[in-house]
Amino acid sequence: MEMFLMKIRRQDDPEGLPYWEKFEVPHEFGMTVARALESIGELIDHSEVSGVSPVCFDHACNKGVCGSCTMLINGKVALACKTRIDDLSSPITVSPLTKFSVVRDLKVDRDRLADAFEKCMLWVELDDYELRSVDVEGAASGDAVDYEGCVMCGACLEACPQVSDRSAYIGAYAFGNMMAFCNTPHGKRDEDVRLAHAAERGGVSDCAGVMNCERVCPSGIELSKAIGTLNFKSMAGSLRRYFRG
Amino acid sequence: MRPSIVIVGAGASGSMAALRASSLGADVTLLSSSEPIRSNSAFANQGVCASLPKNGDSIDGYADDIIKNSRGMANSECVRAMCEASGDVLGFLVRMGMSFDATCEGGLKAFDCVGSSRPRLYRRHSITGNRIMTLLMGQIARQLSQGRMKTVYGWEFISPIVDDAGVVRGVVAIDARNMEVRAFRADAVIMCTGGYASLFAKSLCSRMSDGSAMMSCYEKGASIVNPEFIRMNPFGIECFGGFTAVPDALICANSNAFTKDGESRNYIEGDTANLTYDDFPSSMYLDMSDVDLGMIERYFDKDTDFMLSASETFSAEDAIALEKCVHASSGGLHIDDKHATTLNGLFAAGDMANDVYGATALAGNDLTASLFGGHVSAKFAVEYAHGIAKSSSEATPSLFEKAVEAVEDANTMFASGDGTENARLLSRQLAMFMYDNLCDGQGASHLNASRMDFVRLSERSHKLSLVDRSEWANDEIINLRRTRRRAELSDLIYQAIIKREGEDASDDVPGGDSKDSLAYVTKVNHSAEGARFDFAKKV
Repeated sequence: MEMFLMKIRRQDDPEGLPYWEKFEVPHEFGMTVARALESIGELIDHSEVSGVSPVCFDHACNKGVCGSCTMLINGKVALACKTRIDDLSSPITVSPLTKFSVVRDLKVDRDRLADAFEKCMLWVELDDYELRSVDVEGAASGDAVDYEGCVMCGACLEACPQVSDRSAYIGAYAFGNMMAFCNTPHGKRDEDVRLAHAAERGGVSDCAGVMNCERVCPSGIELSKAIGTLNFKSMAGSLRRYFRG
Repeated sequence: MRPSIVIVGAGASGSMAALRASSLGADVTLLSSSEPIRSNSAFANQGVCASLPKNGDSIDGYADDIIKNSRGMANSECVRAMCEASGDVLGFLVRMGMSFDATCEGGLKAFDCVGSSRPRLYRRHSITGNRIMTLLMGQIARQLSQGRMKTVYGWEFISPIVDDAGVVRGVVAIDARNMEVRAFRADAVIMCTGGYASLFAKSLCSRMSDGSAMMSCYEKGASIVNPEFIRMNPFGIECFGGFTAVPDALICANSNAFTKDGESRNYIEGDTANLTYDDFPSSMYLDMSDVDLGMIERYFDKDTDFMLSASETFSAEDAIALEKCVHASSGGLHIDDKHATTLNGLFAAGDMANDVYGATALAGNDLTASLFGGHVSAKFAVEYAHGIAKSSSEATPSLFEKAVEAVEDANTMFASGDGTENARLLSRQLAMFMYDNLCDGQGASHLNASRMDFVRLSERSHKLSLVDRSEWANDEIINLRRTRRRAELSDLIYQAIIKREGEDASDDVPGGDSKDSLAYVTKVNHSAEGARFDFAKKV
């Protein structure tokens, strides 16, 4: 059977020292990195003491829609379930994201991604959560899905030079989500409040325009357009306020 | 006094239940192994089904379509209630800020779906589920910021805590990071952990949807209904490591499905039976060359892009090779019209429950059913919690301590056991076996022949060993527990099919499209001697 080499950067716990471990993995047709990582765990012989432990990583859907398995593959950020082994140069190196703290092996703590909702107020102030009949015709949107479909994988943060421990910059995904929200009739209502939030410290103005985010986004969201639009909108808003006194 | 409600699972039904329960004044804890955006509901690419009277659609027509397609597996009263509310469910999504695909004139575009008498599928390209879950996450963030609910993500549900009187008083769960075992007190628990389709290989579902939570509720006394029924989808395509389905809306847009011999299959008119049962051919192809390119660009560009990048076999010019995939499970925990399971204080909604969900043979119904189920179950759970004589905060602390101890002891036992079997390998082999032997429609006689192979396989689940004994982020313990549950559930399904045949209740399964073609309902109860099956005549 054809084997290939995989080097995985592992870490037993958040305080532990990282180390590299090499694995010889049997090749399967159309194999993805996620499947290869899974198969490492499956191939451990439990009847003898081998000292090898399965690689810990988040994954759920295996088809690139849950955004769980983001990692650095040959140094580039990607979803492990959407990256085929055959498309990679050998030896394959896999390491955890660097912009998030490591939980274990390739599993990182991405809890802070949910902050975008609170920071940018990505919700409609509903009066209640009851089901009642409303007019739905207004929800028809002929727009392309330029900004929608964020899977919260964290790739845009990983690729962004502005995101670091010492910066308050929230990351491009927040602005993609915000634009997706502002484009709907109900989302438009409190647009000013949201824009004000987006213009705060750590907001759109902290973007340096490198545009790595758009290049790595697995959902193909037009993040630089989102940031540009938000920048323009908040600038126009402040000029309007200035001239109106 | 605010009743405390724990909701397990943060998919469409769980998130919806949490929002409604918190707005009804309950002290809500949403416990889930992952965030809503990573749940199985977020992958729903078909759309949302709704009957809008304005479009000339009728509730009756919608309900009839569902009941016909579910082959009588659905509870017709629940289906009717869902159909009546479907327009409002769509309305709720719109109120949250959802937008849907528009016609060229700017109105709401209703798509056709297989088996439906008229178009009633509303989509946002291929990301309907993702958008809905994002919006629900926004609303959850809003409730969190106002201190109205708590979320506990990254915890693995282990089992409900049941007191001596047989009442559920909370749940015990394990933190997937520091492996802390904790009991969560609750006056009522709503289970929204989804179905068990990933028990089979070639499943369209997330690998987390394996029915392990359902099995632990079953062990504590909740009964399961119709576990042997699953819904197949002949329009699966292999993508990356998993499977995805060609959206119904695209299939109905002039695509041609044909078999290897060139025999054409029209899935739009009348041939819907093939979606629910196994009588469709195993090798099928889909030719989309007749689909209007403008239509693809306008509505399906994301779908086709995805299929192009994902599938090695897909090409726009040639026909696509289709795979028969397991779409969803039809069975689930038995619930009454108030979403209560047979365990006092335990409620269920969504794919986990067997009410409307058995009816989701129509594409897009799964989201409607989950959102509606979550919504109503929250109300009933809050009502129940208000009515109980003794709240869970008055329950003896020893009940919760014992539950935690039992889990910790079991974990120690796994770690010190002398087994030799690899849980990851076994669950994969089990899934392959289940798919190869149960999804080919060969009937119970074939299953009797492969019974011994299955027993050999499932017995290995008692000899699982743990190579990783660390006390930090030990996925292996969680995986081992899940694998044991998988084996138990697989066994249950196996037994149910064989026993159904023995009860002569089998002839009512395939064939026919009358409303009550499924005359027998399988009900399974846990007992010390093993599963007790009851094939009740459907009323």
